[in-house]
Amino acid sequence: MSHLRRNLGQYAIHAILLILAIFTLIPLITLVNLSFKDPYQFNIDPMGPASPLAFENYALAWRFMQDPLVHNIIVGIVSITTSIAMAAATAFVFARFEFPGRNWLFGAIMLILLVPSTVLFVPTYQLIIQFSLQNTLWALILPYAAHQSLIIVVLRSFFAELPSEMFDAAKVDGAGVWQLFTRIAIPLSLPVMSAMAIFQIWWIWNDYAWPSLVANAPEARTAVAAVIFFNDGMFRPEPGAGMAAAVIAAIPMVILFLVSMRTFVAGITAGALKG
Amino acid sequence: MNNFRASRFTFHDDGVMMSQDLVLAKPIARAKSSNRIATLVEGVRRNWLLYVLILPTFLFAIAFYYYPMASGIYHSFTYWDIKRTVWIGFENYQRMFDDPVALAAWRNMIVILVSQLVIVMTTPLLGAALVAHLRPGLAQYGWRMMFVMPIVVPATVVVFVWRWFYGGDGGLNTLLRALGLGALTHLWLGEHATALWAIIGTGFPWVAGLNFLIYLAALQSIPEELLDAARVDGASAFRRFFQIELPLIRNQMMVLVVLTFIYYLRSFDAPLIMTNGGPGMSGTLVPGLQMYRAVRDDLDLGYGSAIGTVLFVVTLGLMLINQLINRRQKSET
Repeated sequence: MSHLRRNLGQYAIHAILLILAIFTLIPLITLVNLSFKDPYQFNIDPMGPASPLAFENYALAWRFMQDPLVHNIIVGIVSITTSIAMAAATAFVFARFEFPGRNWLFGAIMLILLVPSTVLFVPTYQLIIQFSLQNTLWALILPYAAHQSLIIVVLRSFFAELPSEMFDAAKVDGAGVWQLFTRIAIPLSLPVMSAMAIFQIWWIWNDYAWPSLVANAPEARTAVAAVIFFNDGMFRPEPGAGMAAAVIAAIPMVILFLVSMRTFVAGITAGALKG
Repeated sequence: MNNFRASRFTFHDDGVMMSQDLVLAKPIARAKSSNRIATLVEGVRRNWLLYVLILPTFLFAIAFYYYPMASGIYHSFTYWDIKRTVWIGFENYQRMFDDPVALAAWRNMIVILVSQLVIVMTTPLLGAALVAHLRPGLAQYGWRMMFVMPIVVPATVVVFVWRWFYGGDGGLNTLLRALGLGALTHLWLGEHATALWAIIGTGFPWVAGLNFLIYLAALQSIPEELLDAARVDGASAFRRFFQIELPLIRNQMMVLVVLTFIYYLRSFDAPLIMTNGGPGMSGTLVPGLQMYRAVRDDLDLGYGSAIGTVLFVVTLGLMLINQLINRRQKSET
């Protein structure tokens, strides 16, 4: 009797979850569906299944999204490698060494976490303009590379918790700070750094407001900015192609997720909680 | 091989290294301040490599955090269009308080904030609780994946689709007409009464995402024995949830509440993409969007800085309050 009742509870949960899942997925499925519709079908029957599949939408969208995707990838790789390299060095130093001013300097870094992007928006814009970096990838790379406080917090606690035996043998052999850092600390922290890297790329890929302000020209557009520009700008493409562009912008993130599921989830969780 | 040899350092048990010279006591009696400065300078000189290693981070921090922060606050008291800067005192702030458009922006933001706070404390928690109460196995894992996956889709894309949904011939109206409810169709993003709520409604049913993930992790970290004991005592599933599980995840919920607060104080992507602040002058305007438009459209950087500074102060205030609450909670327990 209680066996049946418990199963009933489970079935009820599954039913509710199914309803929630359907509602959650409808917008995404609709997006993909619309991306395959020719203009006629788009306007007459937007919610019905697309047939025939209008692949030309993707051809058109791809021509427009190609460069922005590359921009995003370049910006991501450059800013993430530099930011993590800097952050790892800083985290290592603060985690395992005493030196004059250590607490003050660390406090200065932590203080940054309190500063929201709003107050930085306008002055950073002016900074970019002043150095004529607008509409170049540097306008994106440099501010993103500065976004290290989070990584420093996570890596610092990681390095601090490493048992000193890890370093003792090397110290006896005469290893200096740099060797300890590059030969021991970094290799041990690769999983954590990957999680942080994924968090950064997810954050960078999602950023719309900043790129749309400083890098909206074709030479520097990012994927998400391109989606909006493609749809709202002078092109006025077929609506299906506009949707296809949005799908194209989302695909790299989906691939990243599928390839690195556990790290992805770990990175985003750590990033969100520490931030 | 560099200058640093292991013998230069003494090692404490916790693995922290100290320069041997700093540890040495100076037996000679000297004036205290010059003694301290001397050891300071020596300490810096001994540890030069450490300072070099942290220098890049600090250079970027100064360039992209400290300088802009100071500049932003300073320029909020000026008229600034890049070419020239004119000190105008509190005029920008005065404008913010007098301008009905600005006030409407703040009102809209508060509406959004409160709504999102209600959302973050209910729907993702409900979803997580449901999944947490499933029997462990493939099904539970599957549902977890199902509600975590949507995180990967860029927010802009989600907003973009919902914008289409809300359109005159968009998905929502199409479905209403198909159901014979054509009378209920609206220009959801174009009418004053519906626009703000339409933006808030984006993402319905607001279950999937980071909040769900954190709630689920919190619920699953509750020791099974606690729940078993309650089950043995005859507590129903609802009782168990409200009296055991919910109190135990209160901390994570507070974290999510604070994060949500801070996020919606400054985020303006949705109004920017969906309505550009309309309908009218300020139907869905929020302060962040005002700041953005002050830069992009009006090149009124002083006013934008003022908005940014106010948002900064509000955010800082909230974080400090949050810290105070945390500290008081900790001293109570």
